[in-house]
This record gives sequence, C-alpha cells and structure tokens, in this order.
Amino acid sequence: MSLTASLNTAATGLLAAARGTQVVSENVANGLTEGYAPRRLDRAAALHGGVRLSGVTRQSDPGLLADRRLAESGRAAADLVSDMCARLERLAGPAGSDADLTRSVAALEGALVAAAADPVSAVRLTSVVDGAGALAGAVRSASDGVQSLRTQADDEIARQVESVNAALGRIADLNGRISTAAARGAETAPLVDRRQAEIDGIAGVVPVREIPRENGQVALLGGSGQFLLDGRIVRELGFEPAGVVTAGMTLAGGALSGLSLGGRAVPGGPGAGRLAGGSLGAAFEMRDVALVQAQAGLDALARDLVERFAEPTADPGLGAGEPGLFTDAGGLPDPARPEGLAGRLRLNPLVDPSAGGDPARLRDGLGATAPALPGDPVQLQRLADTLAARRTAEPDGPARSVADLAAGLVADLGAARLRAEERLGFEAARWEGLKQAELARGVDTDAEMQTLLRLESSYAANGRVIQAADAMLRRLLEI
Amino acid sequence: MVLHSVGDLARSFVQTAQLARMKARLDGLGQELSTGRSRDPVSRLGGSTERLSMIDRHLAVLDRGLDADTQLQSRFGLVQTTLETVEIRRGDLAEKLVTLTGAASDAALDAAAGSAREAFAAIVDTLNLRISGRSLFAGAATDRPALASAEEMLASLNGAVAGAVDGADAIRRVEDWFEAPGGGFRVLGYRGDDGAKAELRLGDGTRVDWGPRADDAAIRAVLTAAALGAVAAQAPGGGDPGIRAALLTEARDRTVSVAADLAGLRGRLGRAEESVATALLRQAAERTALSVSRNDMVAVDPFETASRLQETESRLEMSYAVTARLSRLSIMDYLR
Repeated sequence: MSLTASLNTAATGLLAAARGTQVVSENVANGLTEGYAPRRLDRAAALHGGVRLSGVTRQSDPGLLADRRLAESGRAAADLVSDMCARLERLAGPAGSDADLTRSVAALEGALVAAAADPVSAVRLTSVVDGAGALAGAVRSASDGVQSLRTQADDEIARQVESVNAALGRIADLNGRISTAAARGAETAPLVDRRQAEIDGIAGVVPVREIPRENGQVALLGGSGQFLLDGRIVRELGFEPAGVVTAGMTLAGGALSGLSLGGRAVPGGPGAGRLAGGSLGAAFEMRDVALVQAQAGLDALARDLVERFAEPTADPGLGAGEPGLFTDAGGLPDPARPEGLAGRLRLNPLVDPSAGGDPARLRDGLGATAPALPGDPVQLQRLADTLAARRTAEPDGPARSVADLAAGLVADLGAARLRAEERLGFEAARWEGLKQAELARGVDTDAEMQTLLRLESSYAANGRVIQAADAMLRRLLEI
Repeated sequence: MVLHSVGDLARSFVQTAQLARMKARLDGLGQELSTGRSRDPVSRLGGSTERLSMIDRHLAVLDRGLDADTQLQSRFGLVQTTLETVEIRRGDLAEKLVTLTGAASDAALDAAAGSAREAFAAIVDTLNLRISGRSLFAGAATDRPALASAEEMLASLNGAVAGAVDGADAIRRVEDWFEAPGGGFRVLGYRGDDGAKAELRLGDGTRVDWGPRADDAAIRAVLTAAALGAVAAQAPGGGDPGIRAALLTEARDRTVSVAADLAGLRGRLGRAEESVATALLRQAAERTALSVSRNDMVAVDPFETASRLQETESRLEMSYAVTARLSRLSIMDYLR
C-alpha cells in the first residue's frame, strides 16, 4: 500500500462523512413531516480500499404500515357510521330530551284529555288540532331527515369514488417515475414518500394491500383481493350519483347506483361488495340498509296512526274509504307506495283551520252529518282511547300503543348510536396504537445529533490521516 | 440500529391525543355539574330508553289530567253551591206555607200563592245560571238555557189547569205537566240536553256522572211543589176558591217532602266530588313517584361529579407539567 492509496482511502472517508452529514440534515429538516421515512446511508468496505456508499435507504416497516392502513379503513368506516347514527338519533330524539318523538305523542294525548274534560272550550279543541299537527309534522320532518341523510351518503360515495380514482392516477404516474429513476440509479426516496401518502389516502376509503413489483413499482389490492392498480395499469371505480334520494329509491329497484370496478360490477354482493371495509362500504351500508330500516320504522308509526284513527271504534261515522284524524296525503295509506308514508303524513283537512276545516269537527266526529252538543265529550273520549289503545299492526305482532311505537323507535336509534360510538372507540384506539408505533420509527432528532457527532469526529479523523500522509510525502520529497 | 431510536412525532402524537381526551372529559363533567343532569342519558341507560320515554309521556298526560280534574272540581263546587241556593228557596217557601190550612182566608191564600210564584221564579232563575256563558244544568247543551223562563212555564201551566173541575184534578194536571212524557215540561219547559247523560273520565281512570241536570227527578219534584202554589195565584178552574185551597195545601205538604229528594241529589253530587278529590290525590302521588324515577335515571350526583372533575383537572395539570418538562429535554442543550 502506498501513501497515495491511503490518501485516496481517507478521501472516501471524507466523502462518506460529508454524505452522511447530508443525510442527517435531510432527516432533521424533515423531522416534523408526516409520512417521511428516515433515510439511512448504507456503507460497505470498498474492494480496492476505503468505504463505498451503497445508497440511501428509506427506513420503513411494511408490516406495520399494512396494519396501520387496515386500521385506518376500519376507523374511517366507524367514523362515518357513528356520525350518521348521531344525526339520525337527533331526528327523533334523543330519549328524554325535548325532541323525543314520544313527547309529541304525549302532548296530543294530554290535549285530548283536556278537551274531553271541557268539550265546550274552542281553545282546547284548537290545541288538539295543534298537537296532532305537531305530531304529524315531527314524523314528516324525521322522514325528510332520513332521506336527506341517504342523499348525503350517496353524495359521499360519489366524492370518495372520485378521490380514489384521482389518487390511483397519481400513484400510477409515480410508479412510472420511480421505475425510471431506479433504472437511472437516481434518488427514489421522495417519490416513494409521496406514493405512500397517496396510498394512505386511499386506505381510509377502501382497505388496500401494497404488493411490490419490479423496479420499485407497486400493485394495489383493494378490499378482499380486487386489483385496483398494477404498475401503471389502473382499474377505475365507477358510480352514478342519484342527485336526490327519496323513500322509494333502492339499489335493488334500480333507482340507485352500485359500485363498478374497471367497468364491471364489483363482485361480492350489493353496494361495495368485496371493496367493503372502509368508509366507502360504510356509506353504502348506511344508504342501503341502516337508513332504509330507520325509514321503515317511521313508516310503520305513520301507518299505525292513519289506520287506527280510520277504524270505526275511533269514529263511528266514518265511511269505508274515509280517513280519520291522520291521513296519507289526504287519504288512506297508498298500497302502491308503502315507503315514505311518514313523509306524507298529514292532518285531516276537515279539522285543520289552515285548510278550511273546523276543530269543532273533532267533537262532532269526522263522518257526522250534524254537529254534536257543545258539552258532549263522547267522541273526544273515543279519540283519546284510540291514541292510547294497544293495537297489533301485524297479525302475530305485539300489541302496542302509539307512544310504545314512538318510544321503541327512539330507543332503537339511541342504541344504534351507542353501538356505533363503541365501535368507533375501539377502532380509534387500535389505529392510535399502530400510528404511534409507526411514528416511533420516524426521525429521532437526538439520535441524528449523536450520528452527527460521530460524523464530525470521523471527518476530523480522516482529515488528520490526510494531513499525516501529506506530511510523510513532503518529508520524502525534501530528501 | 433502528430499534435504538424513538421518533419525535410519536411522543407529541400521544400527548396531543391524551390532552384532547382529558379536556373533552373536563368539559363534559363541567356541563353535568352545572345542569345536574347526565350529558348522555341514553348511554347511561345502555340504550334501553323506552322506560324514560314512557315516563316523560306519563308525566305530560298526568299534568293535563290534573288540570282537567281541578277544573271539574270547581264546576262541581259551583253546582253544589247553586243547589244550596235552591234548597234555601225551598226552605223559605216551606216556612211561608206551613201556617196554611184548608180553611184559610182569601187574603192568606193570595199571600201564599204570591210567595209560591216568587219562589218558583227564583228557583228557575237559579237553575238557569250561566258561568262563562255556559249553562250549569242543561247537560251537554251548555249553549242553551236549562229551563224556559218562569213566565213561559207558568203561562203554560195556567193554561193546563184552567179547565180543572176540582182540586184533585188540578193537582193531577200540574203533575202531568211535569211528569208525563209529552207533557209541558218536556215540550217547552226543559230546554237542555235530554239524551243519556255522558260519563266523565277522571285522570286516574275512574268515572263520574256528568252531574245534576234540570230534568232530574229531584229538580222536577221541587219545581212541581213550587208550581202547585204558583198556579194558585191566577184563577185556576175559573177562580174556584176550593181548587186554590187544594193546590196550596198540596204545595205546603210537598215543599216539605221534597227536601229529602233534594238532599239525595246533593248527596250524590257530594260523592262525585269526593271521587274527583281522590283522583286528584292519586294523580299527584303518581306524579311525584314518576318524577323520582325520572331523576334516578337522568340526574347525576353533584358530589361525585365534582370530585371526578377535580381529579381530571389535576391529571390535566400534571400532563401539562410533564409535557413542558419533556420538551425541555434535548441533547441539543448539552452540545457545546
């Protein structure tokens, strides 16, 4: 080994120290950057002396990343469901509050009791009409709220599909750039960082698994094994937003759109099918199942109100096809449109002053031909009994009063909200744990400072070697 | 090498999440303490909130029932007072007629007939009392007077008695006017509701009768007694003094005997009043019990909440202190 060889070797040491410092400065500068994987300089002993830099690698744990992404999907889904369930609960409750639907029923019951005790009072009759109108109004606005939530779910699906497609396009583009850079031997780490961030963005919407391909490219599997992207080839999600969703519109009926992947319907069932598990699947679930069930509950309550007041025990003077106190848009329940009855629930115009009716008809009976005596409580007592009576809607079902039905509906919504909150708590805790573990593998400024110290002394040491070799060479030349 | 470092962001992520949770809990506890009610009764009841909803409904209906029954109580009270006035008039008339005998002078008969006529008019007026525009004794037909005016009824009665042949016939004609199904009382005397009496429902589910009407048997009997004397003021049977004497002595006797009927009517009303009072007590007790149940479900214990609030507060403070302390610890301070 000659002295010049040692000079060269020391020079590689200096270069390595300088390069190492560059990596440290990059890490420290990006210490607060989300999604940044710390870089590490790889060194190996060179064959012909000195140190060889074999490259800068990204420190990331693919297993942890995959787990965290799955947890992200679960959390986003639970978040969407929990938010919608909370809003759903506020439409008819919560129980015990002033918005509790049972209170509207109770107000009407109370108004009927008061009117039956003093049938002469026009004020009391009007307050029965007001109470009945308020109950019908509360049911209608709950129904409108449910359909509005369905519309929002539908809009959300459209928005998410668009964002996933856009992200897939960008990932395909990044794949291309990464493979070109890798072939040239250039830095790919910042591009990989960006691609990881894009894939994280998809993970909330649809669960994804990343599969490495050649030249640093990746393929993405969505849900339970549906290819979304392979290298530069993208399969786009397809969805038709419905605009405004109303009660009768369903996926099965064809009025609402399902999800397609690469031009074909997604396998695995209605809605998001095999792509379920993230917020997209949750939005479909809400639009097509949970909110439809809520609407059905409201429709059952509205139907019960219309039917029980049209029975002869409620008002003996009513004819065969005539509605009683409550109507489905003015008549008996429309058999062709059972869904959405709750949105059509109205007060009978015969008693509604704003529709030209007279509250005194409550006392007379809606089908009566002659007015009743002013102090006659009998028909009002019948109405009060009808409201409080326990009645079976289906042949084998339990007998329930209107208040029972309302309380049951409110309780169901409250229980659904609680379950959704519990689920969200669990998913959020799981996600937080994984996120924390992932962040723990991020930049540690203290460790970088220690590395810097070592690099400083390495640089000084290599410099000293150069000085010594230089002095020895000069001594040689001085002879 | 990787295992020896812990990323900076990890610590701040955890701390931020913890602080946010503690502050949210602090807010919640503060709200519970100031309102005295649970912030989320639904979660406290574990989702089975039917009982709470039904208690609320029950309380609302009870309130209206209590109102309605209180009003009914005051109506019955008014009716009872009015009946007392009728009783007083009956008593006065009985006193004035008690000295009458079959051999009384014309002047005495005139005086007695005049008193009876006054008493009849006074009783009819009392029974036609209207409170807030509603008749008390007309049944469900509260917009009509209970009886025709005294003059109208007397005119009809006098017409009925005009052709009487003797005292017994005259008495029978007056009786028939009041009692016969097609008689003058039914046709023009009584103006109120003559259908079946409606039953009223009290808030606790018991029922009471509507209350006395001017066509009740006891009232008819009182009116008959007074009318017997009142028709004697005109000239019944062509002015035959024997008929007059017979009518007035009958009036004297009946005015005393109907006291029992009237007392019976008032007694039945008294029992109805008692039912209403009992219903009011029962409803008030039920209301108290339901309110207690509701509080158990919804209210929070202020002492427990206050101590949890304090505990959360001190944990938050400690968390702040730790955060500040740890952020000052960095190798940077020890280099140079």
